[in-house]
Amino acid sequence: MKKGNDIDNFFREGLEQPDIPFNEAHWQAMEERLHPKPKRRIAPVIWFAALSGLAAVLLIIFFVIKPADKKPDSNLVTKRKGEQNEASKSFNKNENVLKMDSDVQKNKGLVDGRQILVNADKPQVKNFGYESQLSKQNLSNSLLISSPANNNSLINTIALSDISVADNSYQMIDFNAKSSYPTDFGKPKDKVVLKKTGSRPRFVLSILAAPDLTSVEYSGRSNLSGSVGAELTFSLTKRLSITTGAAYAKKIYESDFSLYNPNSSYVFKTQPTNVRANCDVLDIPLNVNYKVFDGRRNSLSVSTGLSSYLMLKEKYSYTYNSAYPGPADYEVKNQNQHYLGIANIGVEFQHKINSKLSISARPFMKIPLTDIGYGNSKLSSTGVAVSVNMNLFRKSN
Amino acid sequence: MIPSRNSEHALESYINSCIRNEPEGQKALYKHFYGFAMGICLRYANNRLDASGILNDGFFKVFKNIEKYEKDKPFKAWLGRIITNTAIDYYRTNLKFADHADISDYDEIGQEQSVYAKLAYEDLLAFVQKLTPAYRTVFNLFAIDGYSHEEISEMLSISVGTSKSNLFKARQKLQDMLKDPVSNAYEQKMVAFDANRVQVNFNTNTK
Repeated sequence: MKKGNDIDNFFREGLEQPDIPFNEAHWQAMEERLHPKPKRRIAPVIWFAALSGLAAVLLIIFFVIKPADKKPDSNLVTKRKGEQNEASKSFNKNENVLKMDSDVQKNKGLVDGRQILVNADKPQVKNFGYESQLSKQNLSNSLLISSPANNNSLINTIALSDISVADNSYQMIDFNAKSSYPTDFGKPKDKVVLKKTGSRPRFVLSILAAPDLTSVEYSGRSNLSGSVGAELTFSLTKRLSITTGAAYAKKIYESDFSLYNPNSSYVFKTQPTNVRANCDVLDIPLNVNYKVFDGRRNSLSVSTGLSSYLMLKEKYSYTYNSAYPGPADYEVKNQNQHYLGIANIGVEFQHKINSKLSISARPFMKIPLTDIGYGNSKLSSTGVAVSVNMNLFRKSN
Repeated sequence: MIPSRNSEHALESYINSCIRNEPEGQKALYKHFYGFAMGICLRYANNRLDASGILNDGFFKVFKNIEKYEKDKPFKAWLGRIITNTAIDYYRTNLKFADHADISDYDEIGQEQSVYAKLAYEDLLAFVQKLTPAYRTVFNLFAIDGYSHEEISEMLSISVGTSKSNLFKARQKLQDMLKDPVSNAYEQKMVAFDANRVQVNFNTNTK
């Protein structure tokens, strides 16, 4: 035995403290085993399914409901557009004619002498004034137009202006007389204004990301979680709108074991000291928003409402402070749904980028009205949702 | 390798992080003990591929059962035991101890005072890996990891005599390899071993 020690020692010394460099590939194999990825892939699939489902529902809503009640409106729009085009076209024509006329007169002046040249200058000056008046007239028309009669009057004035280049004084009077026409169409004008309020962007699609701090009430500890989702806002009036959507949220929180009250008969042999939860949640909000301040570019609204939580996956890990620990974790899938069990409050600051796009930041709080999840914890979140908003089916103003 | 207070503290935080199942802590712990654990695996395995498989099997057990670790005991020893057990399990089906007689009568191997040439780790490892799993496991447990024959007989479910016999035969094989590494029957797979560097003369039959 003792002599055998020599060879034992020889090998022990040679083999005991090897210097083996770390191999990253081995860790990667290990990590895949510890935290398998396929599970993670499932969540986005659910999320995408939810989103595409939502998109499909939206499309159906728009294509089924929209054509029925929007038809007269869209006709009006095209009409109005046509009129505008006509008006501007003829206005341009008019301008050209005016220029041509003055050119002709200029030429005449060159031939006939100085006096005619002065005459030629005069109409030019007057014509410029007239032009500006015309453009004013046009502007007001573009705002008030809608009736064919109005359009006719515009065309009349233009026709008249063409004729009256020769005699400016007459033409001016005539034009002024004609310019009073639109006031006779008070009723159509009002109608148009009404329609315009109706054609504000009614649907707004928002894509949002919302980091938050999630905690169990009274635990005094919070963990960073987050959610991503899409929301649809429907304007009811100028200030009031409702929002719904879906967000895939990750809720991570820690609490004392005392705040963890599962509805199960399982008795822990050793009481864990701490519970750490990692939940995948589908958050479906239904909120009412009121616009408090509406500036040209920025607006401020307050929103409140209720959220439904569909718990897709809940994983609870237990921490023990004892030498004889119990189970390490417990996982529940698709078991708990809390319909309208969470209250939302938030303030939204919105900044318009252009007529179709805006960005907004919304500090929010989610307050539990029921106990959430398998652990029946009072789970609250506070965070800021950042979103990009797109106006859908926007009407031209 | 006397752990300083700092590294002990770091180790504790890795372990706590592992208890929370956090990948960062797990990686840190894995990296920290990679060399140590891999060293064990290589000794018990036939080859490197098997060794890395054993390593990850062992670490997987460590991570899944880390809350069972008792903090007042040395973590390295706990980890080492799990890795060793994993390695033994890995070859359990290959451990054919069946027909070994209890040979307590010739368990003394005499040697000339050994002036072992300094063999590189890789060379020694190659020798050990060439042993059959039964010889290698007993040799590792007894000679390097310091288990007694009683403990080994329990771990491997064999008799103490079989353990001793296997140890003896393992030593003999190793001596043969050291003596004449090139022509040795176990040498087929041996690569780049310089026989001139080893000048060992064992006499296995003194006494």
